[in-house]
Amino acid sequence: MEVGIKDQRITNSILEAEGIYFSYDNGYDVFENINIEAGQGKFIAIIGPSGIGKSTLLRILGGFLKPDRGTVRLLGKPLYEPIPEVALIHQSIVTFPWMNAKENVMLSMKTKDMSKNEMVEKAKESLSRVGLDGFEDLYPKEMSGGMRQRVAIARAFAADPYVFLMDEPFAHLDELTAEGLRQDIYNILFSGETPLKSVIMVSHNLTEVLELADEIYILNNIPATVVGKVEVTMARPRNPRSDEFNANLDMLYSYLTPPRKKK
Amino acid sequence: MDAIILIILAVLATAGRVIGLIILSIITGWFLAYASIKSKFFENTYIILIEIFESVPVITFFPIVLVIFIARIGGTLGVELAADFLVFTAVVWNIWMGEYQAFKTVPREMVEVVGNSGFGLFSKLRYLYIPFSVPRITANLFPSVSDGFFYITVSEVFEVGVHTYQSFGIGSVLDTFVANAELFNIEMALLILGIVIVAIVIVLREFSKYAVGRYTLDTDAPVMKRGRLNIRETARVFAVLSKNPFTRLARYYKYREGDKHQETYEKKEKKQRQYKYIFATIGIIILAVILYEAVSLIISVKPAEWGVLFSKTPFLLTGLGYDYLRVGLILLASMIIAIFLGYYLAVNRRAEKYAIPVIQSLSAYPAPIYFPFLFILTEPFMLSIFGGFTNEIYVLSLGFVSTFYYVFYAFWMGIKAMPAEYWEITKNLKLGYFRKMRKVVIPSTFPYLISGISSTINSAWGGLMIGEYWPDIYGTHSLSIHTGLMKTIDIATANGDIAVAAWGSLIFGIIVAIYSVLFTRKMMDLAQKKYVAEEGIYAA
Amino acid sequence: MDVIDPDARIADLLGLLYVLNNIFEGKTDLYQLEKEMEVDLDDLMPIVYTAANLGLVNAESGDISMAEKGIEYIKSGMNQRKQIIRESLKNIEPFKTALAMRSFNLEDIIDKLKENNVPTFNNPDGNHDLEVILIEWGIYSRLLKKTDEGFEVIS
Repeated sequence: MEVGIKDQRITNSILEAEGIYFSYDNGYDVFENINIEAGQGKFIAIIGPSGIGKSTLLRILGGFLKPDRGTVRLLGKPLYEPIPEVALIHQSIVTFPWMNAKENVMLSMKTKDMSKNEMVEKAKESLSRVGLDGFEDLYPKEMSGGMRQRVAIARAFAADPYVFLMDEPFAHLDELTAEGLRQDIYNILFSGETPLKSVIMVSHNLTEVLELADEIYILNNIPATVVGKVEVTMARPRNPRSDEFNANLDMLYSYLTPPRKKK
Repeated sequence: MDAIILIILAVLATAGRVIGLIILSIITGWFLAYASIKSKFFENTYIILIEIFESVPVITFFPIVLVIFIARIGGTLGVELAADFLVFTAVVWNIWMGEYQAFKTVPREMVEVVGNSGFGLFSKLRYLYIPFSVPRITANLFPSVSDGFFYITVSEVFEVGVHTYQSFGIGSVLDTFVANAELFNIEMALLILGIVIVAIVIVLREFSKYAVGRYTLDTDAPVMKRGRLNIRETARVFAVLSKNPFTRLARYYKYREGDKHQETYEKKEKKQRQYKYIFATIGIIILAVILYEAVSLIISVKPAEWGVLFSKTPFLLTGLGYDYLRVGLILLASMIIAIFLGYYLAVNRRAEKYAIPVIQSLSAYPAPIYFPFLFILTEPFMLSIFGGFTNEIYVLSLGFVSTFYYVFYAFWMGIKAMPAEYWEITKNLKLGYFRKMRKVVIPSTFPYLISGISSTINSAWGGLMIGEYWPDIYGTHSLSIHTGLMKTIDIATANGDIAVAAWGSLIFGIIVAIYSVLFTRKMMDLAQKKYVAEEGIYAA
Repeated sequence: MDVIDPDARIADLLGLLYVLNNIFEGKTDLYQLEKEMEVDLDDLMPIVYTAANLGLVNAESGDISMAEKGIEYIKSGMNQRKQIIRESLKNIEPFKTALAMRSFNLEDIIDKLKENNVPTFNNPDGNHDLEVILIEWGIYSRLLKKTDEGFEVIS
């Protein structure tokens, strides 16, 4: 995908959503004029109360759902349908039990113009990037949940994505495992050896969000709008027990109260 | 020696026919299932048709088969196609329904991953939908194989008026042996057929184990812990469970699920509209062909003939009444035995280990093949006990042996799928046997029981069709009952009176379809709403 | 008997070391850790035992602290981390037995472990537990590789 020179001059954004409106088939308005911008090298988090439509928004950003109004742009070009370059990472770990690790990863290259050998090589490289060298021929059933999550991430990586969309990727894991994976994945994501340019994550775990994100968008109200955007400038690694961390948490909650209401 | 080779070839031809048609059902089913998840219109038409055909006994198709294949196509090809069509209608509905349900329940996340990769139709089928449907297909294979073999005797040899139509297979070969009273060859034929059936059952069992090990998701029954899915526990639980593949397969057996997995944000994508029109067109074409056939059939009947047909209708309805009574008796006997034996086997692992393969093989061994020999052996004794009711008893027995398996298998599967928590609670509460049955076991197996009952009813009609009028069952002995719609249809077909046979079948088809809509569908819905045991377990 | 707990996972190890090092500055009471991470005994203890057996943490009298090797682990990149685990596994079951056998399938090593009086995998789920542990720790750290027959030590 070519980078539009003109668009690059105007903004530095990788993935951008402008003026998004969305309603369900039954007429319920979900979003009203949502604007989100994920810049180069940024980890973006989207938070909001339960039922606000965080996962729906993520799917609009990935082209899985069409907004009623508004545009999603990847590197300045409109995005109309899901493409491997914008990879969705699910809350539940999605691997296909009938394929081994290598085949699971190769799934994201099937539509590319590559020979079988190139695909196998690339799959190995992707698995190795997430630490799974030697796992090529193993089936998901032989692996722990953490290892399966790595296979899912390797699969996304194999398509050379520019953007990762993460839908509460650690919600199903116990906290210790989640903490380990968070650190691991953060390091892998921004190791600089991939075309990946930014990450957008939705989460209901505010501590997790403050630990990882550069920018946080807060959604509230019915229909949902962006009620606040926070830049997190704390140095990494961030300690959830520090006063600074707690002050930031307090600020996030101030955006979420009073309770969401119909406008 | 030549006879042995002939028998082997005939058995292989029959087995090949059954297996080939099952494979055909599986392959066509994938495309139809995909079409129905893509187009709501196609889905509605398709499902209504399957449900009607599934609940209408295969025998109903017989006159249609005669008209279309013998009269229109004719020749060896026509006869072969007629046999194939009958067996196809016996095996296809379970499989199509299973595939549709599998496609319908593919987890949304998996669909999204495949969508993310930008796959086309064939890649989607190959990497996601087809593998995902394997467990459900496997769960439906045993009943389909049994069903397929059951109908070979009807489909390989049939008489219309003075004509006898035959296609090569063990059914027709055996028929010749019986006519010539070649006892040794008969025994050999029965033996070789038995060996082949046992071999098929063994292969199927091995395949089930493989399918469970390879194609099932181990997160399909979430083991929740503080509201979170605990992968570690789940993997563990299923590693243990999967030692008995049937326990896992049970979850896939004919189990009807609604659209409850669809989440609110699944707004319809506009891109799918173009597919929609294509599939809608296909649906309309199919419908048009069926209508054309029906209309041309009706036009071909002369007005005078209509008068005769209408005047016969009350008699046909009386026969149908008698037949419903017979089906009811057969069903009752099957259910009682299935529930007690099924329960006993499900809780006694040792007995189960030996009994299930035996029952599976027996059920696949077609009752119409061995029934005449049972008849020879027992008739004098039975006559002395039942006198004038002897034939009635035989017809009921044939219905029973050809049908018992379905309700048994379904119930056994249901017990296997019962959540372990329920067993513990029944022990904890010290529930007695009958209380446990009434309050826990039967309600939680209800969805399975209902689908088993509907298969049982269908096959019972098949048994009646064969048994109510069976000329020269051996020597000059004939099996025939006093009144029954199946008998009337049989005799009309044998006399070449296709109009009466078709009219009888039509009345039968309509009433069975109404019954199915009013009763079976209601029970299925009820089962789905109230008796899904898995939903009763919820981790706080 | 030093053994990898059947419930211990690599991700948990990283989580434990990370939390201990960065949040608790290297040392804390186990109960504090439990509260902070909102985990329970089942989640916490398998990895605490395993990390202690591997020599990455010191666990004693309800306290836990980072060992030298643990600090080194946290500071290292992926390859270095794998090497630290690989070296540490060599004296811990089931890998000690695996190293002695060089090449084996699951049934063989289960029998051998029984002979060597390692009861950990001698239960109904033992087969599956052992397989996951061999893969999770052995293959991940490049100590073992999977073959058609089973596992093989990478020399």
